[in-house]
Amino acid sequence: MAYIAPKDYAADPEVVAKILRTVSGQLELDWMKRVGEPAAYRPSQAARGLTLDDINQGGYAPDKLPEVIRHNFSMAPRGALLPPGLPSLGYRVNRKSDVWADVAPRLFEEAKSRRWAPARDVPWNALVPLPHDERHELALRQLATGLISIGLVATDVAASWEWRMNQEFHEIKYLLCAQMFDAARISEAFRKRALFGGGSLGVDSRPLGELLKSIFLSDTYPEASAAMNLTLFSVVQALGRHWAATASNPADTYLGTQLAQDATRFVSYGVDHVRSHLRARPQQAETLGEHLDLVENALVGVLGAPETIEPLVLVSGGFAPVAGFYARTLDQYFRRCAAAGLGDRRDASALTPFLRMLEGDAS
Amino acid sequence: MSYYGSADYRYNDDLALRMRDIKKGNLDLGWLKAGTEARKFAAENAKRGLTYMDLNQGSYGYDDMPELPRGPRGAQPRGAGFVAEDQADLEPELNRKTDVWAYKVASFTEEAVSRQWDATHDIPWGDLDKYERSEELEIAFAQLCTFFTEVELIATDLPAKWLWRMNNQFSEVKHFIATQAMDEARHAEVFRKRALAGGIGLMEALPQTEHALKAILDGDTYSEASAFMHLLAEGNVLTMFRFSEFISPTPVDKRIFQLVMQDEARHVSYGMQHLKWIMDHAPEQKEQLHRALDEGENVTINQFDAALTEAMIVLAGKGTRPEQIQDGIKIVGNMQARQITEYFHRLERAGFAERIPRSRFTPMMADLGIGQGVKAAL
Repeated sequence: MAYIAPKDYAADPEVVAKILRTVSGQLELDWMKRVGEPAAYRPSQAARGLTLDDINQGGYAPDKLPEVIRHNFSMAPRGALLPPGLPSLGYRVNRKSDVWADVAPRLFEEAKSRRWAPARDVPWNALVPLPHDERHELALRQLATGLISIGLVATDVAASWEWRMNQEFHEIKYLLCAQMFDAARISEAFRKRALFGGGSLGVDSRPLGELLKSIFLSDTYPEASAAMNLTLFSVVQALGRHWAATASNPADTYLGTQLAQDATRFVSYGVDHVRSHLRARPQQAETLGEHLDLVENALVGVLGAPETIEPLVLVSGGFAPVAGFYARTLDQYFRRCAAAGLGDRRDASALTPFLRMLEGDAS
Repeated sequence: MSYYGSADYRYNDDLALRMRDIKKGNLDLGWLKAGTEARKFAAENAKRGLTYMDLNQGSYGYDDMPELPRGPRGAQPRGAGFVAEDQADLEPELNRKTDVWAYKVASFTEEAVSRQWDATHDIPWGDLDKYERSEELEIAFAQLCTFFTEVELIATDLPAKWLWRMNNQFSEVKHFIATQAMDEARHAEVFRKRALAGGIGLMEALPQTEHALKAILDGDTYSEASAFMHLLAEGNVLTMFRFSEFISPTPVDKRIFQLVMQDEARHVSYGMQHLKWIMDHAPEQKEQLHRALDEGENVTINQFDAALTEAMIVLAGKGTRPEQIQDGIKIVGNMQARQITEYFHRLERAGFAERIPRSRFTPMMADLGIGQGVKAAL
């Protein structure tokens, strides 16, 4: 046990005496006078319910938060009265611009309202009998194996930062919990997809493992967020759309659509977070850019790996559709980077020469 | 950046040659020869759908997973083909099944995914205005909601602190922990919303509680932290949720407690089943868990002396007049005795009954002359 309480309360006569006073009816009730800012917020739109934006008003709103949190390192909720004696819980991420995105409360609300359960909501029986040939199915299972790995590590990345964030940023912490949930569900859904029927998993991909490790071991949260939410999930979102677009049955259409929908929340947060971060601290653009150089290099490894590109060729009906898919996906990604304030990354990125390799004929 | 991949793809002839071959239609297709097990998987119960339990077979299953899954340390899913020397090692710290596993964890995870709810839509917030509430009761309820908002996020931070250190072979546990983090975020959200919808707002944070939260977060091992958080702290909170439903000032509040209770019961069950797994598979850890709970119970005792107790007394007695306070004390006293009794029962069910005579609660309750239920449990 790393933390030892300052007193042995069980043997402290003061504690027992205080409890005995309470039990005998001698209440202090002084806490009843220590009220904070009155609040009686109601849904701004009845049909939408009481949202985080509805209650983020007055002293409870995040716009009153300073850039650097110096006043609270405990779990006391933002806006509560802070008495003396609150301990530090050791939070390491205490700068608003390191985590904040205005869109985060709305994304958390969306994550809750668009819930789905792979066990019941996917029409699994649409995969029996197999609606396509065996090789096509094995290609989908190989892609599903990669998506399981992505879901597993994305859960880890969100978790590894959530507990280090100051409670004053509770909306971001909520959103990271939703990301853990969503990412774990991606892993669950595609594990079930690969195994249902006469199923099997494919093989581990070393380049994918390296990409995920480079994201997982990011040095700062802004780096991790840019790499995971913006870079990785731009590709995951596109893969979800591609999965749905090439689906031969309702189960795959549903899975691809849900994957794209969930991934979009990661991307939206990533763009808004990086934008907010760079608006507050423009000097960080170079650091983030350098990090993305390395992550994009690792992404080239994944996109060019036989475990990725070959199954895509099989399910897409040839190389040309895959080249087009990659070109569209990466073009959209570069546009998002620019929108987030990272400038035009095309020239610096390892993805650009890779795209050139895909152009033209085989000679 | 702490990790640089093994290749610089800007200058990679292998990649260029591979792309040229693929363009020509020459696919390697080595991945097709994965050599992984093929099995028949189907939903055993059509209504329940395709669950993790349905996938629990052979190399894909969790029952056959050894205590030490040697080899896999990366992102590969359990059952996928991999070459140990060729994996990107994520350096997981928790690699023993006993470190994390719990009986029934797969079904807890399925239940969590299927029983998600939404604090925004599923609580009839607009109905709060239909019910008259005295100011003193609303103040007491605001203090209770401040406490719950404060404590619920420990159960996001603690699981998050350990989740990423676990080997990916334990995916059902990691998934359960992710669902717990989401559940608890939603609990913090719903109590914050209730406090800010009631007219009073948030009240004062509680230093005694914060020391207990710090002790939970700083557990030396996941199992220590789980015993303290899932079994003791969340067990206490579960009893409080039941009590709070009983004393809720409005049906809106009753609805809140009904929803959070179902989640909390799942978390407590996981904690109990994890402890039971340890008792059955690694009984040598008992002394370490005793020491962790010695301190856990110690900081819990300090919480009985708090504004929280008085707020619950006011709510239970429905006011601050002396006779109301007396009524409230009886009800809250019973609730607190029940918290300890239920904790002891959970220890028994987990196979850790030897904890009960050593518990720090036992002499304290005797000193106070309350808790007949505790004596009965002993």
